[in-house]
Amino acid sequence: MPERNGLLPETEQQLIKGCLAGKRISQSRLYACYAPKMLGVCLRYAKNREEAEEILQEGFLRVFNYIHQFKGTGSLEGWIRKIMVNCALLRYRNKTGLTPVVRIDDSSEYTAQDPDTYSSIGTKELLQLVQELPAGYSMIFNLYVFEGMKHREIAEALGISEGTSKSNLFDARLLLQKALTTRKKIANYK
Amino acid sequence: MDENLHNIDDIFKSGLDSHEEIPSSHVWENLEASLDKKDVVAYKKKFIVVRRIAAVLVLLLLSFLAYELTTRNQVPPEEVEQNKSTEQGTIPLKKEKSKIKSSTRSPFQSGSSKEKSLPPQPGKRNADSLFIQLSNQTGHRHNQQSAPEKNRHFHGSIDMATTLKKRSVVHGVPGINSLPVTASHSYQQVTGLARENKWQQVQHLIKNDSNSQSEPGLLPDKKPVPVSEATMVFNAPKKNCH
Repeated sequence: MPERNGLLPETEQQLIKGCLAGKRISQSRLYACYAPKMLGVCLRYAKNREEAEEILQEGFLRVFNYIHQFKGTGSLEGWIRKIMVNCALLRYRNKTGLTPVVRIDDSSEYTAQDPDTYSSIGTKELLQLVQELPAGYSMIFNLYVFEGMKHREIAEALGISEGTSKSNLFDARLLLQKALTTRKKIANYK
Repeated sequence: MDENLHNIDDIFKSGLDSHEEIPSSHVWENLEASLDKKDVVAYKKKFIVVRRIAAVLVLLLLSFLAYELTTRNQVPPEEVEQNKSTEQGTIPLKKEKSKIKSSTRSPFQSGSSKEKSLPPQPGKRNADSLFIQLSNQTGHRHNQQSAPEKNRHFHGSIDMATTLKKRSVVHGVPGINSLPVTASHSYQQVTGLARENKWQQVQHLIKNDSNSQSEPGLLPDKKPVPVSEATMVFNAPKKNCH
């Protein structure tokens, strides 16, 4: 496993040139630099770590194959991140369609909570809550919250209508709020 | 409620956006194996291209060699035209005729002038007409030889049956015109009677042939005789018969 090293812009250009030439050392250094960040991205789109690592491997393979298409106008990290998200989307399309698994009938149960009450929840718990969401909800929530995409873009990317995207995002938020409240209550009870 | 939900977005974004985890070592190993496989495929593609180029070069070389061989074996066009004309038997006939006249008729020039000037008669033997017709039928194989040498020995197979039917070359006796001579019989076999160059022997054989119970026309197999001698024999009995 290659060790992670911090990359300066000059070295980043050198790494890109090395990857274009097919040098394995440059590829390993690029992987060591961006793999941990990209695994964090993949973990949000996947159900577990194994699936996230599969997406990561597929994404880096694409990065090395299509690195000649990187023109250097934006950041390399953003380009690699976009490839990872596209890989996750492709994987999701190959699975079942966007069908809501959980039906939320009564939203009156959920009461307003103080935001500070959720601050004590750790990162791993938050990641677990996102992973526990249904596939369609998780995908729309990630694309809207973390990638900053609009509902129209999400609808185009997933092949659904804009209204479906909005309603699925609303449902995902309710599910997350409910899960957070439950966890908080359990933590207070203990 | 809506404000609270938007707060949830901020909570998750601030908590997970900078989240990093070190992947397992087997991820890079699998990735490296995939990259190696891709390299192997690329090398194979390159090798296939090189192999195709080599095959094309070999084909070109073979076709060039074949072309060279065919052009070397080809007969020059002048010779081809000459062969064609000889096969038709028009132009060489005149040449041969003139050569025959100059060469084979020389022994007869001492004969009477009346015989030369007379046109060929059906019952009469005419050596010139025989030579002309035979030279027509022998084909182009004898064209490259000189006319005297060619007409002295006829070893080739000739369609003698038709010739004998028309002119009764062999015996000149009625009733023996249609000899069972096939194309496989050579002129020597047919004219073998006259090889001794003695009219008495010929006459004796004709008598034996007409009286014998064996098949008429099957002539004794004797040594080949020059045609000029044979023609002399053919012409000789005419005078005696008449």
